[in-house]
Amino acid sequence: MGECHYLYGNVHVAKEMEVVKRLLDLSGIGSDRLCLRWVSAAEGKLFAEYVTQFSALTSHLGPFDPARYEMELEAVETALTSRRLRWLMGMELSLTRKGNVFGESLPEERYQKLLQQATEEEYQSALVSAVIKREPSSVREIAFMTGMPVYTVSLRLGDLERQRQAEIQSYRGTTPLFVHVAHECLEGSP
Amino acid sequence: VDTDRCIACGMCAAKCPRQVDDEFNQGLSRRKAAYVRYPQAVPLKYAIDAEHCLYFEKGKCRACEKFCPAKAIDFSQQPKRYEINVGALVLALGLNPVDPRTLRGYGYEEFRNVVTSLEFERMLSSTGPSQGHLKRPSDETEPRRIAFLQCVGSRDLNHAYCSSVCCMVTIKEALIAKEHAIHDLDTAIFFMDIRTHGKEFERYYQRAIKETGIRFIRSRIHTLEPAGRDSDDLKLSYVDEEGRICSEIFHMVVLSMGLEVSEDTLKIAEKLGIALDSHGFAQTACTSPACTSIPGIFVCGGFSGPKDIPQSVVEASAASSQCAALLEDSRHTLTRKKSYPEETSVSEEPPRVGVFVCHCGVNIGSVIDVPAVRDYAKTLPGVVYAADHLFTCSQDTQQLIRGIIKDQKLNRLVVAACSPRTHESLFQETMSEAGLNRYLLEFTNIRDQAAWVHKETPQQATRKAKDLVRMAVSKACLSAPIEPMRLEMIHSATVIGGGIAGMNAALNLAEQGFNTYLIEKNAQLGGSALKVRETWKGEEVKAYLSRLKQKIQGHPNIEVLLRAEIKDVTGFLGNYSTTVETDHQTRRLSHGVTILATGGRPLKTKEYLYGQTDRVTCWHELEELFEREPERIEQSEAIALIQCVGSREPERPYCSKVCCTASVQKAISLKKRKPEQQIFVLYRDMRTYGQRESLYRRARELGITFIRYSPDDKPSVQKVLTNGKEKVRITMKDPVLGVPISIDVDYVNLFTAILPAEHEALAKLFKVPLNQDGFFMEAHAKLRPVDVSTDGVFLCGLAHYPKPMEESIAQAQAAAMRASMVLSQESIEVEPIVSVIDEEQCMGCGLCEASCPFGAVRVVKMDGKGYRAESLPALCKGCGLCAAVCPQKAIDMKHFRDAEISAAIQAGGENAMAVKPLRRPGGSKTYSSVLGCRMADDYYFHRGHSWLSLERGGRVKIGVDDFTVKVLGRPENFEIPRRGTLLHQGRTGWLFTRDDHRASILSPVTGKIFDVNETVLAQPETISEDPYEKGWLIILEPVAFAHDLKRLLSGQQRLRWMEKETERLLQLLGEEYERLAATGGELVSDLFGRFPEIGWDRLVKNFFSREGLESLEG
Repeated sequence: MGECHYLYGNVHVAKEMEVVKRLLDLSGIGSDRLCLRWVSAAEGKLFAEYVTQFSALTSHLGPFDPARYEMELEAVETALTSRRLRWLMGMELSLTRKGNVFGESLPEERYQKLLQQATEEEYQSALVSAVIKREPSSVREIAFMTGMPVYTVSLRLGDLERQRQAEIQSYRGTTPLFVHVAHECLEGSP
Repeated sequence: VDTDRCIACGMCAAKCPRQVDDEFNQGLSRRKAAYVRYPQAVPLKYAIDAEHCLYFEKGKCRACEKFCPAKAIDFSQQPKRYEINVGALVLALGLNPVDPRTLRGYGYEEFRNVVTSLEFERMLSSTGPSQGHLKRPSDETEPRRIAFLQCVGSRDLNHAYCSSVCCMVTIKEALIAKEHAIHDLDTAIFFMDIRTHGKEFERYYQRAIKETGIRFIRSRIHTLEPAGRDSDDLKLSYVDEEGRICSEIFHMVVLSMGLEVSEDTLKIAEKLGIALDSHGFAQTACTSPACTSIPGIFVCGGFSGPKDIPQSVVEASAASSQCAALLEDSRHTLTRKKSYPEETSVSEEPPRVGVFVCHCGVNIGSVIDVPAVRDYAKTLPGVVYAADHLFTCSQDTQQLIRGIIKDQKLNRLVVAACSPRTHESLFQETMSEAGLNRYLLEFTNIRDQAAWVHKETPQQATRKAKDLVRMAVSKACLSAPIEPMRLEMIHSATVIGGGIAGMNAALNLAEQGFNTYLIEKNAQLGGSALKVRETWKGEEVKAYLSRLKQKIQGHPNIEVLLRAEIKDVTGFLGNYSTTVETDHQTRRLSHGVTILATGGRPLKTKEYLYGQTDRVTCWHELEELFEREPERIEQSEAIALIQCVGSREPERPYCSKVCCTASVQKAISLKKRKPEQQIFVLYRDMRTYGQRESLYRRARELGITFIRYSPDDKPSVQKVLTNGKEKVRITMKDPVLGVPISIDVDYVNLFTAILPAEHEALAKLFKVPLNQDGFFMEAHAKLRPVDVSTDGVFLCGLAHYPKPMEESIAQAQAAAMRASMVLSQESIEVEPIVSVIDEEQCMGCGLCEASCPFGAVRVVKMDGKGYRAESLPALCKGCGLCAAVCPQKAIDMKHFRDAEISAAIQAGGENAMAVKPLRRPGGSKTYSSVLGCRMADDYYFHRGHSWLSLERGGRVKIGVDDFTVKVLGRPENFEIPRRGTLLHQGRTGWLFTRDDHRASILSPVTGKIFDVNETVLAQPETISEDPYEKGWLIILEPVAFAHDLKRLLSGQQRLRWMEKETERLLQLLGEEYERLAATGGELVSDLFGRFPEIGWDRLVKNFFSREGLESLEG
């Protein structure tokens, strides 16, 4: 750390990798499929060691079939590009060290907590979106497909509805079916 | 051979009937009369050796002419004469190894297993006569014991100098021989002094001693003879350090040959009239190491004295710096500007990729099946052309590529070869010449990343090379042309450090016409040299310094800043801005390059009573003392000089390089001043390298006593009074006699280690790494000894490593030359790999601005659009942080766009997926059946008769198989644990109950229960109807699925297993039931229901229990 050719570039990467790892865990893919190590160009031996370790680990985990995780991968990507996560990650230094416009700075643990919560929520929302993008589904169906408790699904559906990314399409009996709403991003700050 | 036509196909050599000794391989192998001198030759063109060619000898043959496909053979070629007018001449004539045949006693001509170090070097080389296998000449067997003899043709009567490089050469050869040997190899090096005085050399030597078991024997052998009659082995007899007479038998002896000036070189020198020293080397002064005795004629490399590669490279630059200063007014008068054809626009065309796969001689070709990679490349989408070449980087191949680009209308290029670090620019240049934008090239490294690292597994290496090519092609298809970017250059330099090195660097830059700031922290220029009286060649240093100072102070191009301190540095190559504080003011200097010449300092030791008595001094202090109080030298009778104080110690494992010569020089001057004075030099290895060896010889002739000591048994020093006189007593072990001796002397002078200046802060400011000893680290130890890894920063003097004045000056001039190569450009071309912002996507949030470490993005107000981010390419380093944070994905990095990287990653993964596909999720609709027991095709089966299918989200569905249903019949109830319970593979997962009978079924996998099939719980009979779909029991979240998978059966395996299971069942039932149980080739359903007498427990125990499985496995 601190020896990056791009100054504090690797600090950013480390932080982002943490979030990606968290998302991989949430999706069931497993964070051990991602590995971040600092190796300089002069440390060939160390590099070989890390690669050997990591490939031993992955061959133990077995091949990864993206088709099996189609929806989850989509959700991970959506969550990662979500404004909320990008802002949180991008502003860490200023939030925790410099403070906001009112000069209030966030304690490190509080920031970590916020980031973790945001990561989870964004992932859940994205997963719900992924389901309703495929076919109109009821809350129960979404819960089954995503493996999330019905209550959580309702919360995330609520979020999506507020952001106008989900709406009720029709009813099966008395059960409402939800669909995804595609729309252009709005101008202005999030 | 017409070099314009020759394509280096090698046909001429293949057809040439004449065999000749190959001089490049030291005559150890044979070549043809049509030949290439060595495989890396540039240009790679064949030549005909007229001395051996049959046609030239006998007027017949011309086979090569007949077979040459390029019609390049021209027997009418005649030598041509050129006349060139030049303003300066550089002699880089080099040295030859001493001819071993001229030396007696080493048996070079008599014994086949006595070889020279250069011959041995070829034997160890993978391109050598035995492909690097260790074989001795007499019988081609692998030697198990090799002796290396040092100083053969060096430090003797005819060659009174040290050849400087042989110690390191021998250690290296001994190490490599050990690596190449299949069996244990014993290597012994017979030496007088080991001279590993270069940067990092001492560490290498220590490693050789401690880690490799190379034996170092301090002895000169007296007899070399055959080990016996008809024996090819050799017996060496010598006297060891303790004086014992020893003899040992070796399978091979390597003579570490010295270097000398060749006859041809002497002839040239005579023709030019330059002065030579007594050994035949070009005479130079320590103060002007690149100048010969004739102005305008310069020298570099071995011709001015034996030296290693880094010093030769330094001197090469130093010599050219002298030429550049001399010819300053004619700079650029003969240069021509290279023009390129206009770039063809490719953005509208579909990609037409050309792939060039390189053999890199044997580097890639010996491991990877290059033609296979080439053929594979042809099958890739977008590829219209693929070829392989022996050396794709050779000039003629570049020519060829330009032609192919035109003929095939290529618009993208993929080169699969060595490292883009060294060769990407070459191919980019070729593309420019062919009218293609240089960023339409994709370079993939199949040498370092495939051939070299996977040498042991050539097939996998080839597969990896294909993967790499596929990735490169898919990225190339998406690549887009990028406009070049030029930045302004500030044509001035800053030299930090006003010692000998800094002054010389500044002066040379000024003479070359560049404005230079010379920054010195002290109040006067001169640095460490202020204390030096004379160089080892006898030049007065004070006089030289004052001349140099005068030149500098009078030069209009130099501004000297004294008592100055560097406060801050910003900027980059061509545009540095340095804040300097002097006692008057703070200034900001704008400069294009920087030279670091911050110098060194002697170690302040506490050893040997230093600081406790004025009779123990350090470096120049003794001289100063005698100057102040001349009576002291009159009264003294004996003086001792101790070397390696703090050098070559565990905490400072490097040699300070200058102390041996300095102490010998000092000893001589003391002796001369008062010949009756006794002088002792206490040393470890005498490292008077090069021509300095003559000083050592001189000192011994003058009667100076040299006593060697070992670091484990250092001399001890104490104050004593003898005959009423204050003396210093040195007690040590005599290394020859092995007995303690003591000497009383009047003064002891210590030669302490040379440390780097305290330049850590500067290192941080300029981002220059330091080595373990605190010296600045050069970009490449051998080939770029004055460059550092930061562009536009150069290095010289003691800040790099301890060195004598002449080497500091040479390095300073070299640094100035390297710097002037940058400064003489009008502007700098920078990599345009920078961020681009899509204005339409950008919403002006400013996150990029907040995260950029270089201030290369800022948010600006735009008319009618609100705020938008703007990239500042001059500051952008291309790290991509802004692209990673942008919530709108509005930022991309040129040449590394998201789309390009994704394409490459996806292409890389393709093969990995093809290796072992997992089963697709979702229900299976097809079944196979064994004796009437159905088995779903896409499911996994556990030997406890449970099944598993893959679900979304990495979960698995499990249930019991048809066999269970057929054998145990209709269940009455299932007892399944609650949601969230953890089940373990191969342990009871749930219970299957029927009447009073219960069977525990084993879980096929370890995982947490996520869901349970309520339908089956309510209507257990569902399972008999459809055990594989509706009859599923549990959805699990597996914990270590990949691990569990190894114990599951699928495909043919599961069918064979079921065949065995049914067979076992029938056997268990015995003959009477066999027919009843399997009617019409099918197992009846509800076996237990029909024949309860079989026994529930027996069935469960045999087919469903853990013990049953274990007994089977066991």
